[in-house]
Amino acid sequence: MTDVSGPERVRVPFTVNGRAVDVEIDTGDFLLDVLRERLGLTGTKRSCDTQVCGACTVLLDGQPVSSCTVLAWEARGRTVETIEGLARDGRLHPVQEAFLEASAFQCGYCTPGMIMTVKALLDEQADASTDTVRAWLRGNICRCTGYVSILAAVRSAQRRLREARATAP
Amino acid sequence: MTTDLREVGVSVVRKDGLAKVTGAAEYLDDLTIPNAAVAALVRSPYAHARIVRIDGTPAAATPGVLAVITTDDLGEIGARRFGSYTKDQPVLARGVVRFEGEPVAAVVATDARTARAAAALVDVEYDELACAVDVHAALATGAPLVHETAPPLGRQGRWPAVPGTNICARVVIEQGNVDAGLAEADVVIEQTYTFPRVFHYTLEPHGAVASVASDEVTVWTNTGHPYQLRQELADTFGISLNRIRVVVPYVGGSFGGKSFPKLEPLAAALSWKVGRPVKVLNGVEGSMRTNRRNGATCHVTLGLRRDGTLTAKRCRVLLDTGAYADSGPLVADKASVRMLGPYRVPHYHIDVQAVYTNTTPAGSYRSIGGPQTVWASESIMDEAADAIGMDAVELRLHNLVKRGEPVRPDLRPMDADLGDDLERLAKTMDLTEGGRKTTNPLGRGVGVAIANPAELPISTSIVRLHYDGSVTVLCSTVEVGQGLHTVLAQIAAEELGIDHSLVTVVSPDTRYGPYDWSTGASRGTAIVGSAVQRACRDIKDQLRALAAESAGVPVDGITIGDGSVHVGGRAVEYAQVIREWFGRPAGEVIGRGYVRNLGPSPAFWEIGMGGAEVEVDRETGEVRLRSYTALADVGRAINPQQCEAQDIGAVVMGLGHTLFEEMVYSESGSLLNATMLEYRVPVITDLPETMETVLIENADGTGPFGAKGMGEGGGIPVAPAVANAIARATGVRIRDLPLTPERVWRALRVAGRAAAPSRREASL
Repeated sequence: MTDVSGPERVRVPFTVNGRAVDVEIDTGDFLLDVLRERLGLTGTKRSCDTQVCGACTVLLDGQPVSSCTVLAWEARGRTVETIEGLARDGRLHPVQEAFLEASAFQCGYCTPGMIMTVKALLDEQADASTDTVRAWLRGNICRCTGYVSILAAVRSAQRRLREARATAP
Repeated sequence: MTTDLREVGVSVVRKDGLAKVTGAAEYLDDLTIPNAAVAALVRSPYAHARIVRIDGTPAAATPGVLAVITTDDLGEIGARRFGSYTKDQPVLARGVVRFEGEPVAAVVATDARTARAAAALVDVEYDELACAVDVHAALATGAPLVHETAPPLGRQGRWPAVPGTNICARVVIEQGNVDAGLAEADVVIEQTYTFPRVFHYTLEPHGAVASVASDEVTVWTNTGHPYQLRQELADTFGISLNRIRVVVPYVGGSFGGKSFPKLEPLAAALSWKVGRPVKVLNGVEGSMRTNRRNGATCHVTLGLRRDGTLTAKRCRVLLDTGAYADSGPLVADKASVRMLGPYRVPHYHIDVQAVYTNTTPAGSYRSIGGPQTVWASESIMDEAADAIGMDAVELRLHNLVKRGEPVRPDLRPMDADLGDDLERLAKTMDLTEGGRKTTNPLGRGVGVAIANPAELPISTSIVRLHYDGSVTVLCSTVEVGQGLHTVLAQIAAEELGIDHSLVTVVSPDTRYGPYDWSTGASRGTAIVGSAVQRACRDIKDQLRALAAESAGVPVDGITIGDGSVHVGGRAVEYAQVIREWFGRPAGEVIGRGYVRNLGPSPAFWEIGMGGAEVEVDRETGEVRLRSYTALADVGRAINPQQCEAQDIGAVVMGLGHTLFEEMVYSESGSLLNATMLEYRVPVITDLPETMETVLIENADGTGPFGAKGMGEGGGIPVAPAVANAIARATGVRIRDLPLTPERVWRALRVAGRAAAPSRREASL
């Protein structure tokens, strides 16, 4: 039998950007709404609401997901990373630095989701080929840049990460 | 080119960059407006219907609902119409709905979920009417009228609707005698080209939050036109301009789709009704029912001699402007000149009609009327070249107007070397693959566009020089992503002789910021930039006067250079001049810059040229772009990286309407692909294998340091360049967009049976 009862209130403990949170939500709440409206993390953007555009991309246990279509309770006990968690101690993440210097944004609305996808990719495949980069970013729409500067930023981020690894103690 | 510029011509890092890569940049939905209620809209399921009855009782009884509001609840505000060019749009539908998705009622609640759930309970009874879903239906004899009586002109209106028809606006430009010109031709080509209705898809949908208090209407919105909007709100509420406050945060893309009023009058009316701030926010489906680009049918007759000389051009352009005019009349006006193109044509008659249909209202979209008309005019140039057996580039070079030559008698003479530009483009295309000639010359095509942008060169700026030497630039151009905050900071820094890091440019707030006509029409750098430059010059004049007064010397001998005031051989920093004059570390110098015209219209010609190289898969009809080369003649690139970025972005956006995009309506006017699952825009895997941009800098623009505007031009020639390349590659000419695999495959199949270019010999 299908359960046709309305949403239930549940408590969902999870980790956001290294911080433990415990939020009371409706079972029907999407992760995007909980991040933006309950936790004040408005860097993650809403656009298509249909898991097409990638503007709402966050990392769930390191994997990029469209938070507009992920139920918040699916984050129970898991780790969520958003754009706000990337810079550490006032230092930008290498992907952010690369986007800034390559000017890989215009209006900036797709940028947080774009950066999170790139971060996830380079965490998994630091030396990803251009074809792999394109395949991963196919799910992130940018209407302004024409993507060329974004590809340049990814290449620059790869260089930065390689250099960081080479000089790491 | 002079090279003594230090801040201009440098690709400095964008001012908005840090905020945008960290997620700190605040867009409309990120703002916290205390006590704001949320509205959900009840939208019409019919394209054309009479509203018989609206029952909001069950919705109003839902806990958390503050009000269910229809036009009847809004008094005079409900009866008024807004529209900068034609006053035809009600805040909420009144008696009749004119397109599927038109807002009929609003449910205001304490939170979005409650509002949405309650909106589903609003019961509306309609009496469906016959509808006109495209221009042909709308112009047919006995067509249902979208507006039963012709709406009046708006404050900027110049082109009246034609009573008893669906013609929203009509613009005719002509010269000479077309029949005589065609009689002089050796070859006459007559063709029809169509351009689809397309959607901007700004990643950030439209929205507004309004707060109406007793003495002020405040609207936070993602508009591109804060001051046009201020006027419309003042008219809606019947109050003076100083009681309207429009605040614009960062905007997640506009491309013209957020020009002119959209949801703001409704948000303000709802706030006025419920007595607290109200937020109205579209999703994508709502934005697809808010604004789109005018679709177009362009019927073109072109006459030319065997030597390639054009003799006459006759065009009839029908723009599908949807249910409300928005900027449709202005689109028609611009389309007329853009249809004429950059060529010497002694005899022409161009008739452009913006036509009401029962579809989403259409307005401005990145070069209004440009891509639609240039699609036709640059396709037919290639057809003409084929007809006389001339190279397509040669034909264009033969007819391009030269620098200083009139395009039309009432417009600025051509201010660019179009022939040099086109030769440069052709040469660059030959070089795109590492210096080798391209391997598939049959698949190459070009498009050449000129546009008369910079709609109304009216801007003002206030520049504040603080007593520590830093600078705040106030202007009311919106940072929609075009990078204007960065470019204006560079212009101010160059003029004042300081480092751009000392300059901040703030976002519009009409309570404090100075007047600006609009954000759009490639006008920011040249026109707003000129206002900022003049304000900086005003500051320099004032600094000289202050330094003279402080030193007790005549102002004549005081000069300014290298960021200092020179008083009798002594270099005094700006900050010190201010502190000395005010007598302590306090005060500031306020510069004013006014721009009311920059000579003949347009303030500059925007030049956009493009060349495509394609491969066509004959089995599937798929078009693969091997390379695309774009050329923009920018006068002076204030920030070269941003200029190139604008051009590349415009090209890829142009690939959308060229290859994929089309809003599909059913016969009864339902939008059939109203989600991003079904509406296909370019993604990263759609890029051409190579892309190149060429910036031409002759410092010959009317803007600061010789700059012209840019940002729209790159998208205009994409479709004809690609279609011309397809024609070279396959021998098949396609005259309807988008060039989907199915359309290309069908065209190849038909052509496989018979090759029959539709033209008649004038001499026959």
